[in-house]
Amino acid sequence: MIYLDNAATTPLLPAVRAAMARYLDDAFGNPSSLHRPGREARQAVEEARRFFADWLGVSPRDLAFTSGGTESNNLALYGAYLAQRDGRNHIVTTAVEHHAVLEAVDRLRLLGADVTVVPVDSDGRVDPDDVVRALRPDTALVSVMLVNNEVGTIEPVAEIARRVRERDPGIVVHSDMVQALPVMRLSLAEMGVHLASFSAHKVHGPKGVGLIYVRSGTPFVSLAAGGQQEHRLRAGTEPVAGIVGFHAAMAELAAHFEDHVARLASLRDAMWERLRSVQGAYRNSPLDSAPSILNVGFRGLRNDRLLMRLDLEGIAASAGAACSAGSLEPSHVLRAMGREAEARESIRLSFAWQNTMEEIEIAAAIMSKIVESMRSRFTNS
Amino acid sequence: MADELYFDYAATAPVRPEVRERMAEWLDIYGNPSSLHRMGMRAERALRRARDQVMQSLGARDGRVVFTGGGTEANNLAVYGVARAYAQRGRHIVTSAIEHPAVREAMADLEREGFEISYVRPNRRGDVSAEEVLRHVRDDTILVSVMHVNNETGAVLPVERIADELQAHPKVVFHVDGTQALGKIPVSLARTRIHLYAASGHKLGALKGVGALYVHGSLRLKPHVVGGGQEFGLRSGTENVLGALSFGEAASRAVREMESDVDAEQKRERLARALEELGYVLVNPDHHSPYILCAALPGARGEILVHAFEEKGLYVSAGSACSSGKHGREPSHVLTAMGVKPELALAAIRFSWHPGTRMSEIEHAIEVVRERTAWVKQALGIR
Ligand SMILES: Cc1ncc(COP(=O)(O)O)c(C=O)c1O
Ligand SMILES: Cc1ncc(COP(=O)(O)O)c(C=O)c1O
Repeated sequence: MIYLDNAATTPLLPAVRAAMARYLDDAFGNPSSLHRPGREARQAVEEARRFFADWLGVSPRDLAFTSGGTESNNLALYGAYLAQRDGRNHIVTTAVEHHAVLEAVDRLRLLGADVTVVPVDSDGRVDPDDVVRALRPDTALVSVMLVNNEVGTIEPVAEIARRVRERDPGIVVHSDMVQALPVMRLSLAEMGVHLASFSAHKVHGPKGVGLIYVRSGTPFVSLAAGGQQEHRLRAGTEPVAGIVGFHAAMAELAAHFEDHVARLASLRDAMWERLRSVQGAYRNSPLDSAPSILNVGFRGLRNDRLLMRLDLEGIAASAGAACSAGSLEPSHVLRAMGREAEARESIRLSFAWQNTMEEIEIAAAIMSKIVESMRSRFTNS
Repeated sequence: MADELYFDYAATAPVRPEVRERMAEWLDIYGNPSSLHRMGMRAERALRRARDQVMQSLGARDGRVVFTGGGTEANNLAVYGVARAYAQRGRHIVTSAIEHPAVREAMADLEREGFEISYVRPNRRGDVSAEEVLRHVRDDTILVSVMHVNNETGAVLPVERIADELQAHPKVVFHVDGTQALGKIPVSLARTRIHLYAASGHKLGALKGVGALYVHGSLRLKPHVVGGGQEFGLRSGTENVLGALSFGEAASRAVREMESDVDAEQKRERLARALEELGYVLVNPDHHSPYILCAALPGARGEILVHAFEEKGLYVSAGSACSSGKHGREPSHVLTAMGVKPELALAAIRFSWHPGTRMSEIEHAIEVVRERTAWVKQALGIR
């Protein structure tokens, strides 16, 4: 199996398993307990927090572990909106966000929020001017993702945050950085955002663990009600082993970060170099997109058939976001980019740490062959 | 942990060896269950098996299990999910005064939003009666939410009775926080009219950060965490596959182990008598879990005993884990609701164990308690 669906989820790094083992054994305690097993669990959680604080350039107090990227996005949007809704009712977001953001925004709409959805260009990019134009005196929140999960487009979040702040420092800026974490060295302070969301399983950590950044002083009420864990930002017993795994995974990536990113870029470029000569091939990902994602299509060929054939040949890819319905809805991202026809043809190839150049060569060759055979069958029948 | 006596199972349980052994195999199932390719389908199949195991452990038919990010979130989903789905029908909720913060804080939040909440108080022994709960149900009640086993006192609430009586109120949704009950006392949802039942993996020997909410039949509920629409649309987010698999396995094992623990009540009785002889005041609800015992040594704050015991490798807790913060403790809301005075409430400690705990370990713990209590009494000048 050649796994090229790393934007959906990534395999665990070997170091992660080793790191988690102790927290499945004698350091099993509840971090809120005062005794030895509890203290050891607490220490592991705090070490992980300090690591991420360092890596992201923020204070450990401003980070809380969650159950995943979806929960982080929910906490961020709901928390910032509800804390301000007496005075501010307006939300600005984009047409290409992940469902976790879009659905959360929809729920806020039911609670009375007024929402402006900013469009993107044919590269999937948001124009900061459009965001600024959308701002109103009652804007509570702006949410723009950093790396798009379907096409890899990098959004100008820092510029948006700066210009929003210039207009009205009271507006809270959130960014879904789930797909950015594996490929960008992030400095949240420089980015100027108040809230950011992350997920462990996109960086070779376990599923069911995430992180939220809530800059001190940001208006925020927690959606998760219960105990006083995680600086009261997220109630519930912490997923200790998962947090340790998240820490170990990111530490391994961080230790080789520039090489890792450069390698992904070379895998992606090699893939495109081979596919571009296939008849009817086109690329939806812009040239300056994140190196982990290559969204391509083949004129006239439906993506559901292509993916099925690829799966039979042992190549795992997808048509965009892994969607729970188990069906292939045409991608809202490609459609927002004005690629209506392409939305039924395009597939996402996404790369990570474990992929090799050899895999890319094999996968590209198989893909070319499949496309050719689908075309000949198509013309014969 | 060889010479350690862990008596804090209500805070969290060690990961079960059967779960640890299978971890490597489970970690290889790395696909995203929503992916349509082979790796995704494999994860999806594994997840389905785990769901079935949890259903079976709950003795449930005719419903489904929704995995969540923990016991707290499972309870949040139940309480907010019902409140948001049925607010048009009514805005009154009945709960007990001894709920875990996962329910209690959600209720407080709804109260601020304009819901009216009736809190049913326990009696002096810590028991909550079904009649008291029913007495508060009105025409505009949309939800009754009580816990099955109290995490501080071990009190078992009469959820079957309440469920029966609620048949006279067919529109009222009944939620039970079963976090401390599953694997500790028999749970058989198929035979009761319980609509929602929450559980947490780490109390059973699964991983922390995975919970489950049983949802009866086609009960309508508003999701608490939204997004990709996973878990029947009731809980979005890439599924915690490893956590769910550990939950399924741990729940099956825990239930079987409980069923074979025939002298559970004797073990509790043995510990209770020993504590009484040493001058402890016991919290002893008439209906109680055989695995939790709350006791107080008048004149000695709980933390002092916790530390004194720990020096000899015995781990207990002072109240519940989440109320034992760093900056001094508030007297427990549970004990306070029972009418226990603040000084005595602050002296309370909790012993909690599990069906696998042997009588010899109970005896061992008693020895440590005896020796350390004498030491504490002497140090504090307690007679
Ligand atoms: C951009 C983006 N945001 C949020 C998420 C959700 O994260 P999780 O799967 O941890 O819930 C994902 C991945 O599914 C994503 O790609
Ligand atoms: C009765 C009860 N309900 C809910 C919870 C919360 O579960 P979790 O720790 O998985 O968030 C706990 C334990 O902390 C509990 O004892």
